[in-house]
Amino acid sequence: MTKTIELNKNFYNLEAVKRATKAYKELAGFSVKDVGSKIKITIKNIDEDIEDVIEDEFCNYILSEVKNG
Amino acid sequence: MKKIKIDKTKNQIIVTADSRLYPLEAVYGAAYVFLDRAYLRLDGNPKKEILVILKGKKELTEKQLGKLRDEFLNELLNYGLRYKISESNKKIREYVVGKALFPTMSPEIEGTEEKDEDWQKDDLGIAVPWEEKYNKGK
Repeated sequence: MTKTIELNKNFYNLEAVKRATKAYKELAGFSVKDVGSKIKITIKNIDEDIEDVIEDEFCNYILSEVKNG
Repeated sequence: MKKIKIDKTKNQIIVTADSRLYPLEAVYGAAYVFLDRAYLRLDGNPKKEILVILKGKKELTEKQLGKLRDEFLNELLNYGLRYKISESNKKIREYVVGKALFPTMSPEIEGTEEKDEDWQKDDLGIAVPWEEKYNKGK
């Protein structure tokens, strides 16, 4: 299953997203693209135990990275 | 001014905050506090309106969503005020830290520079010795 997240670059930055993908790399495969005013993240090969929550948890993690980064 | 929308079907609240009243730093601060209680997303334009989407981590009733909204708004206000205070104290904090780290240097901040006092000017003639002042005629 594949999930796509689009984040507004006014609030999120690529560095924070990269740090988050590094932290989540054991749980799924990530590809990050810088598309205009958005950061497009594609999540593949998601661990089925966390399939329902990974998208939201991942976004929360990015937000914490933005705040602390 | 802020607009709030409760969407029970999506188990989420959308708060639209005016960035003139709630700066982005305040929104980040309030959002960070809620990371363990809700899923958050930020969107919109940080120069005009900031959209905060709060989604319950578990299924929430309308009342619970309302409570989450109220608590988030309180936190937003709290962080807004903190931000304003920290902005108004910024220079003095920098000065105090500067003094603590480099006590021999004198980092100048606006409004604290020593004014060159014109102490040598003696309009009232106070500096004139008594003898000089009153023995002139004698």
